Amino acid sequence: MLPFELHLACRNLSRHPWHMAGMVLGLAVAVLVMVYIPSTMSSFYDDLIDRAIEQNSAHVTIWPKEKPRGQLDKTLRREAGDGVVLALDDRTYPRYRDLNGQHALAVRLAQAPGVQAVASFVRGSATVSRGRVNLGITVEGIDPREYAHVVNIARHFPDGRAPKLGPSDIAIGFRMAQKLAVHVDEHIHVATAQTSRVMRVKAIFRSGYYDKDIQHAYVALSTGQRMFAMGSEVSALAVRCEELNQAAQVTAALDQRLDHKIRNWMDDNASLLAEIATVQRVTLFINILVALVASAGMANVFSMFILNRQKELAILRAMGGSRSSLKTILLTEAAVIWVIGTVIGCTIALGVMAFEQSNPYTVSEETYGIGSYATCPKLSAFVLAGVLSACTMGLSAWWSGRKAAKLDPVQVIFGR
Amino acid sequence: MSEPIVSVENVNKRYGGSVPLQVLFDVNLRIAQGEVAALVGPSGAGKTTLLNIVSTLDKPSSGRVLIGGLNIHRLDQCHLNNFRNRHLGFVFQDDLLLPHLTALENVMLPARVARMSGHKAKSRAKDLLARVGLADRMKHCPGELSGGQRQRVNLARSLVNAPSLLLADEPTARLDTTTGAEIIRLLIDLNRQLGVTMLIVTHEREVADQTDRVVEFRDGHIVADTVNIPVAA
Repeated sequence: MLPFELHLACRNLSRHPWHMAGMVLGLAVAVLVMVYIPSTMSSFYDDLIDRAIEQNSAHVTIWPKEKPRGQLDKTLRREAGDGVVLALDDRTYPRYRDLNGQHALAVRLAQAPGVQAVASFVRGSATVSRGRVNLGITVEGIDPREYAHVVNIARHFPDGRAPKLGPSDIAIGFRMAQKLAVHVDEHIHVATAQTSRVMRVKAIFRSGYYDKDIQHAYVALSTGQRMFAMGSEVSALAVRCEELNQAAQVTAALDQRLDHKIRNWMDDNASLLAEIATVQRVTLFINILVALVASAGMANVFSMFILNRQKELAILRAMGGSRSSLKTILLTEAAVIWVIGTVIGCTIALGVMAFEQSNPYTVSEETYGIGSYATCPKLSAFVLAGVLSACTMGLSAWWSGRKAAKLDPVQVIFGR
Repeated sequence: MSEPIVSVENVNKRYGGSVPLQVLFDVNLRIAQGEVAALVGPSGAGKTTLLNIVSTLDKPSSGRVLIGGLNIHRLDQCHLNNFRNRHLGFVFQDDLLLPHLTALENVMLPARVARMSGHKAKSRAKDLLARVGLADRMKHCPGELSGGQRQRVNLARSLVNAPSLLLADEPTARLDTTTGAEIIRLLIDLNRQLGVTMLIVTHEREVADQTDRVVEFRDGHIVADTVNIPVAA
């Protein structure tokens, strides 16, 4: 047989079905809000991370160490004197930026703990032109097969595969293609400080990033090396970690072992992450606010509930029921409402998200880089909503239980 | 007279507030084991106040109350709850049953509060409901019972933990004369069968006349204490 507190709690709730339904509905709505808002924000955050990191940059990048400025200036001044600094700087500095012995370094990196894949690339500025249109762009020389293991660029291309790039091939962003009014298999003129050539547009990609789609282009690694007169050297090595969140650890480990400049995606996206953290704090604040408002509402409803049942509670006290028994009854009622309300709230939230998945919102691709958007269920949001709703009900039941425990049976029963 | 189960010694009760009010003045009373005593008097005489003090629901301003030799107002809250649950039974003026529980569940409740096993509590409750003539009404909720039946349930509930002292506050006040007389007869029968001591507050002389002893209150004082001579059948 059930303990009498549980038995009484269940009977009380079943005796007041509308009262109970009201409380369950109130809690379910609160849970729905507490699940939906963080899930939406979290989905947006995950999408951003996916587009910013998984598809557009390496987890960790190994750059050559920068030469101290003072030393460079001194060398130039001693060798050439004032007035020819820029000319000398233009020849010397790019050489200094290149990564020497990248093959051996790539092998060492691939063996480092937490590292999943390594790819080399060259990067430099160029100008593209077609007809009267000229654009300043960044050209990245990559081995598409190798690079696709590090950065998921394959998803940017229409057929879901990174194109095989020949010596005269170039892949450009769709906005750049629009500006140049160029299509696949047509030709554009590409000029760097060192070379100038006509290249065939092999593929047009959509990265979901405005800047990348308008001013980024891929060429084959060897083509890039020739365009920037880098010989067999590369600009940097891109590293993919086994887990995205391991990037900081891998960076710290590599920093101790290598004499290079090492940056990870968190360094490169510090401002974005700071903004996301702010949004997450605001979301948490909203959730706590919802929980507090719900708590106040529930506490009021519970108080009314108790007011209607004062005599019953007083009889229990007169029969020898302890104050803790009264609190247990109310806490049990709160727990039953919590379970039902949370399950209903979570189910509605899941239903709304499932509906969104099958009927995603249409958003401006021009602004957001994606044509549609749908909230994905996030376990963390469900857990948080469960905890906050438990606090909500616990708090209101505890507060009401305290009031109930203070009831004077003589006053209630005999009206004195 | 056998050993008193209730001993009220120099009990005073004052209520504070803007106009302080004293309702009991140096009350002394002894109730013997197995006795049925009636507290009678006009409204405001202090009889219900004394009943509340004896029932441990209220405290005296001064003086002491011993039940079974135990100074009950010295017990801490936890022991007091326990004492009230196991040794005292209450029959209120209003039946004060829990409306969402059946008659059987209402009667079982004090036993369940005492953590008696469900099976044992059920068996006792059924027995008591049968004794008060409600064997066929066990599964009815209070709303489905008449006033007299509800008071019988109340009576059965007050006895489920086999208390040594049963306290009844105007148990017939809300009942018609016939039903009231039945309830009093039932109380007396239960006293004879179970030997439970009873202290009954009433303002009805007919009720008081059926008890062993009548204690009359006026203005917070005991003004008469009469033993009823049983009328030969």
